[in-house]
Amino acid sequence: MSQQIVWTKLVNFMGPTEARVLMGDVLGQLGLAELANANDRLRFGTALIQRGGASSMVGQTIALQARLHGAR
Amino acid sequence: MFDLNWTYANCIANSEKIAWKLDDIFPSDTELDFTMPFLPEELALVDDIEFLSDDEKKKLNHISGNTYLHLFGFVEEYILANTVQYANAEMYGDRDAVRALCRFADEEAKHMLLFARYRKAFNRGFGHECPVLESAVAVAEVIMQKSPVAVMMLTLHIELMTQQHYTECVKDNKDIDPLFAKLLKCHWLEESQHARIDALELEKLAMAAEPSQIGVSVSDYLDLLGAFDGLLRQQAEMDAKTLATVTGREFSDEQVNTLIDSRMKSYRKTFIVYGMTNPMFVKIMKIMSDEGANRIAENVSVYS
Repeated sequence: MSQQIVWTKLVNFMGPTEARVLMGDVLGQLGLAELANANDRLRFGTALIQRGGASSMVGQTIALQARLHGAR
Repeated sequence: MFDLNWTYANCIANSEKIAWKLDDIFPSDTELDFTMPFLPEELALVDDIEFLSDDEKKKLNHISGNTYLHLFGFVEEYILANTVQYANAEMYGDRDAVRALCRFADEEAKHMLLFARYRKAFNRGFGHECPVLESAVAVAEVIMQKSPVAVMMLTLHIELMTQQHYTECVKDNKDIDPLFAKLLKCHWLEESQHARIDALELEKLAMAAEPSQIGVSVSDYLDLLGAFDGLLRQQAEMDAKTLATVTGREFSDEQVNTLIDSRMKSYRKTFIVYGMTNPMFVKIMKIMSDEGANRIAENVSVYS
């Protein structure tokens, strides 16, 4: 479910092709096989924010939602 | 989880159907009619104060009606901030949810403007500016620091109690001012959709939360009610003083205490007990946590 929430946002934001590349890239950077919970989503969103530019826009909403879902 | 039979899309459709414009409901130059009570007696609880004349009881009802709408504007400050936050969190995700939450936020901002207009009209017509709590933003900051589940529980509590006030006390009530009743009807119409959206949001939060987080959230929610109760006392004391000023009476200490106690009884019933005991709120709390629902039920007696 956590992975699906983030995947939907990325696809809506940049389309499936770029979303697939970005998802794989950031998961690799974080050393994660998948996003299993809200804490993973927060790390994922934070990594996108640190990349800056358009990625930070979707990163901010992913991180905010993860915090609301209990991530610390 | 909550077995809700509505969706964000339903809420948007209903919201579009019932939407009203501020200027149609309450133009800025509206004059209030002070010949009738504003609040229904079930909420105002002024009739049993034996040392007040009928005219003084009506004045206290008007003061309490002004307080009632001010307190809604007061809590809507945090509800607006919270709703905008949830809309941001849904960005690029569920588009129906984003739209429903944005409409919700727009309507809350409109309600705050409505109540501000009403209070200006009240002060013009009543002939005395009634002191009210002024720390809405500071209170909003305190609330927003609590756990997201607790904040959403409090929001659901508030939206559901609003509905009960209208459906159980105001609808078809011929003893209160028709304009005041119309304001509460308009408020209720939109709040009924907000309560549904709150329930959808709370369901998502509860599904993502660990059982221990739900326990903490119940404690946070009860703490927030306790803090709100302290604010209600400050307002009750202000309202007792206002009544003395506008009637020109010098109440004895015992009478002042009776007035403050009567306002506390009214405001606690209206803003705290109605929400805690609302059937839908109780049902949702039981689904989230039996133990949490029991703790909330045990705390009702503190405010009754």
